[in-house]
Amino acid sequence: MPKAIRLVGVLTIICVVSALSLSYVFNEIAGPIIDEREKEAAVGMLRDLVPDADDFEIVTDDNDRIIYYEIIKGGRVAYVAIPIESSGFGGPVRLILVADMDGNIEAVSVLNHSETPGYGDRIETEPEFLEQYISKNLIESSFTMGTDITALAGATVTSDAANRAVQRGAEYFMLNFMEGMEDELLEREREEIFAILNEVRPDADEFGYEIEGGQHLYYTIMKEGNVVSYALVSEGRGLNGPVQLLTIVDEDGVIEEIAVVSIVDTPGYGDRVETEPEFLDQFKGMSLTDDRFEIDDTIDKIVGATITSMGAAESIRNAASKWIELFIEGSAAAKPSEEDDPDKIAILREYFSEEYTFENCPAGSGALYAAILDNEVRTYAIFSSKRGLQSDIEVLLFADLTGIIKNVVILSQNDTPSYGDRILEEDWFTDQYIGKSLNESVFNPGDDIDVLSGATVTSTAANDAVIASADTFKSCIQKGAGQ
Amino acid sequence: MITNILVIVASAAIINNFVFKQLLGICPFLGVSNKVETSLGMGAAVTFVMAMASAVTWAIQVYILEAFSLEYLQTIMFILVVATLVQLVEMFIKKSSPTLYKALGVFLPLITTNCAVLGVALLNVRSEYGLVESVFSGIGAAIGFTLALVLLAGIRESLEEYELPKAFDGLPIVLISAGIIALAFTGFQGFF
Amino acid sequence: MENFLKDIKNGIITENPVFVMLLGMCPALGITTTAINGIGMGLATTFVLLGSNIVISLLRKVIPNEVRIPSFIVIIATFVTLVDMLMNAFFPGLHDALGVFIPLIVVNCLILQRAEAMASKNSLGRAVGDALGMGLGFTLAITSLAAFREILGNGTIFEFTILPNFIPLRVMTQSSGAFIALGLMLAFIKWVEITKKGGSRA
Repeated sequence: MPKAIRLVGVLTIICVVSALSLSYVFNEIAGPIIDEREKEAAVGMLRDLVPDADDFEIVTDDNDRIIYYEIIKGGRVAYVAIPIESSGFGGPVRLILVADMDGNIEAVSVLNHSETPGYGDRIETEPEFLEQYISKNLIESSFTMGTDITALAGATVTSDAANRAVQRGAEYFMLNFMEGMEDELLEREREEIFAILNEVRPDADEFGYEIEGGQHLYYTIMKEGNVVSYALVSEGRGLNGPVQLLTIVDEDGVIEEIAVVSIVDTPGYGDRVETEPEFLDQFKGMSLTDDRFEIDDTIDKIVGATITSMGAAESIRNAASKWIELFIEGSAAAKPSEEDDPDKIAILREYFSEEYTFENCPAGSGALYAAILDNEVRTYAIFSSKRGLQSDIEVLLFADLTGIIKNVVILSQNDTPSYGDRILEEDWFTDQYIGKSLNESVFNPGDDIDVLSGATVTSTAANDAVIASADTFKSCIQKGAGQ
Repeated sequence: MITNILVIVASAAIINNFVFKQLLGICPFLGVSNKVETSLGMGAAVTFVMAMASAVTWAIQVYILEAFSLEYLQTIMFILVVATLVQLVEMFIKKSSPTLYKALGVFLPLITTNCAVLGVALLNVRSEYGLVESVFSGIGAAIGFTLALVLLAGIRESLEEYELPKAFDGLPIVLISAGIIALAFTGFQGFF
Repeated sequence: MENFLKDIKNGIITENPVFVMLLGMCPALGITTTAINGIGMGLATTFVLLGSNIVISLLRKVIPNEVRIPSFIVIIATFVTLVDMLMNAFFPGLHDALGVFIPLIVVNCLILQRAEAMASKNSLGRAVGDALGMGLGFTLAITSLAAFREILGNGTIFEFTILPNFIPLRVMTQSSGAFIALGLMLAFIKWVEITKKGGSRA
């Protein structure tokens, strides 16, 4: 046995010494130099690529690793340069991708590679290949090898590697720099739709729109200051790609006009949806809420363009469901605002009559609801939950305006039968809270609150939930009252 | 996915043949390629170890080295994995299948220092392959290695019948033969 | 001291690792496209040999026989990683050119073989002498092979053009050229030995 310990001991010591010395050399000597050199090389190269830039800013992550460079011109970030890489024939192919803030590619250049001389290294010696990327757009252009980008003959692997790297760069750009551009993309989309509306509804004075979650919900057509019609953009699947239509309806959902936004189907066949107005005219006068839009049933297809016709019908069906979602269901319900959790509203309806409305605090959290009647807050209802023995104990607590507890209801618990579930049966447990104040009372189990003997975990969880409710109440109401 | 894997296997086995194109695994290539039969035995042992090493090193790279930013320990970890794996495979085969052990046993210790095995593990990481791709790249590389071994062994067996200039007898003519096969293999370049 | 010099000579000539013992063939073929690569690889290998021989010789009484191979592998791999990092820091061009062959120094049979045969059985002095001899012998061998390939394949040596009107044999810079060049060099060495022997007899 001591022998075995010695064997393992020696090996372990060697491994530990080895790992420690390597990490020292890496972190203290070699690593910083490698980073520094890479930075210098990159900045030198950026200067060549964007000679009129004023300054370069290196953006690093928490570990001091370079993520991208900002190229500053005229006091603002004019371009970003993203180092990209993928593996080629002889090892990684590292490139740098320079684009302006709209995603227009300014330059793609090689940082380093180990590709075969005479073959893969032509990515560097033959600039025509990387020049293909210039003035393409990271967001809008596609980079399919063979169709959008021509590979270097005899250096396919290297070309593919470079292209993969650019695609990754585009992904990175969209994920990290899109936010500022979202509005602009929306604006571009809007201008396109407005141009179509202008054509089909020359009678209108003005067009409006509604945005939610970074998307256009619908457009409005205004005349003399009133909304006269609505327009919805929707999509169906055609033969080669989406069939995108713009459906214009009156306020009851009756179709007034349908225009094509885009169709990528075969000329002479699928595009007849656009060139032969008879087809789309069939939809006029139909109702988005009441009618069905089925080819060969309610709608006649274009002979020779069946799939595209079906795509158009699908597009209209999608418009119809969007319409119903936006205007029919939304108005019929008791108007809970979008963020409200419908389950919780349903629970509250059991305690409050239809005349009440609810306001959530913090907004959208589903925690505290102010029950409002005649524009006045009448009661607060607070949801909270804590982990019990086997499941979450959900508690609903009602308090008056000053924070005095009026009632405590255990909504759900799945804890052990005949132990944990006694919390539902033995009313005295929840009754203990009635009359206490969310602002002032303390709820120490054992002292202030008697726990259910034999169901300590469950009742402690319920008590914790009440304490959480008190915290929610204080943060929501006290803050409001203090102001 | 399947085409991707086929491309990886074909590329590792033929187009970028480990021996003829990437010049990896030369020592066993020159040492064991005397007879077609032993070449096949070595090839089988290498295939087994390479596929397993590819999978294990992938997991180590992703879940240990990258997860804790310890990429600089890659060489140490990988060579230890290969050495341990060879040992385990040897013990396992010895116990479970004495016949297989008889056939492969002598080759196994040689594999630890076969740079093709460590090479495929390192190249998998550099090519950013996923688990499945790594395993198939290992299998492809091993197929390429076996192919090279068997091709050269075939030539060496028939070379024995000829009288050669003394200076070229032995390894020189073997290397030149290998060079000519490698030249033939360049014909596959640019296939994909 | 005498032993020390003998060990060095032994490594460079008598037991030249590439030309005589046929060890370390992968890097000998893999990276010998230019003479600079040859020297770089040779010196990197010498560094690893020297470091591992020193440590292993010093620890030869501490490391139990049963775990000697794994211990050697860890020690060698440590020096290989060191070389890898330092080259990346100070000679980035060379580091990129040698690529995956730098970490692969760890499986260069030469190094493990010297650890087994020499360093683990001998004093520090002899281990150093052996490492220097073998390392330089290796460097010399692969640099001459690389120079041969560079001259024929590119018309240059150490990137200086020496054959200006020469149409290079591109094949020599490719993998097939590596096999053929080494085959020709080995044949040449054999031929020299044969004629020497023949001469002495006559």
